[in-house]
Amino acid sequence: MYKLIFVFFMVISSPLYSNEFTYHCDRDDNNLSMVFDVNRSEKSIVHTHSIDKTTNSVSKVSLPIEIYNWDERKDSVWTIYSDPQSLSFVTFLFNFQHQRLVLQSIFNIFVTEEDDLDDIVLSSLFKCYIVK
Amino acid sequence: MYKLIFVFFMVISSPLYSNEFTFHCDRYDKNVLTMSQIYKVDRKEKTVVWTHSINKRYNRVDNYNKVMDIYHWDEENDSVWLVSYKDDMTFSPNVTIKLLNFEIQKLHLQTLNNFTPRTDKFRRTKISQNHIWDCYILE
Repeated sequence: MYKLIFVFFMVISSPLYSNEFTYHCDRDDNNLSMVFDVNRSEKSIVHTHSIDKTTNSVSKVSLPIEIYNWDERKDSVWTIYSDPQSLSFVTFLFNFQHQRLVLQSIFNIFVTEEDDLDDIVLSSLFKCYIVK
Repeated sequence: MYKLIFVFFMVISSPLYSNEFTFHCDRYDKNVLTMSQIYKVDRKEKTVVWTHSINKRYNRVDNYNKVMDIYHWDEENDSVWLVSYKDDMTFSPNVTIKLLNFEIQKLHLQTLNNFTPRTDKFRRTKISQNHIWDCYILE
């Protein structure tokens, strides 16, 4: 009987039942990693660290990210961030189900040729894993 | 004297003093005009209403009258950032960001679809679309 209660509490307190986890994402060129603390029940995401693999440097960020839409059906989150100084607008799409992160930004700089669109749009795909 | 008053009223009521205007934007695909979008902008009230969309391929005009959500009104650069979310169950949910730059008279439209690949191949066009539109101001 005690063993059963013990197992029950072990399961209840296990990470499987936790809504808080660390989301670690590696960019597809493997040069950059980003780490986030996610809390599903509070619906909050904090960008905690950035790791530059080219220089082996870790930056501590601790930046709460503005949530634009929390899509529970798709287990995904849209966040937006604007930087008035650099005239940029960054959208993050966290897909916890597929364990992916898409980062996309626009700069308020316009070019005449459609071919140069890559200069003002940055788009990256990250592969992620959940660390509980 | 009457002439002076007349000139004064003419200047006051001229478009130069108007904060309300129509922002008409055209999208070209391979130098062919394919789409137009029309917005009513009020700088004073800080509102943008998407009034019409014109599909040139099918000669179709859609009436929207949709008040857009303003994320940031950048007075210094005479620009507006608009954000909208769509999940109509027919396609992947997506977020659309529109940057209207009245100074340069351009619209940058970016759509990010929740279509993250399971495979390693990053099919950029499936996930995001970016287009720059040429615009003009009608006062």
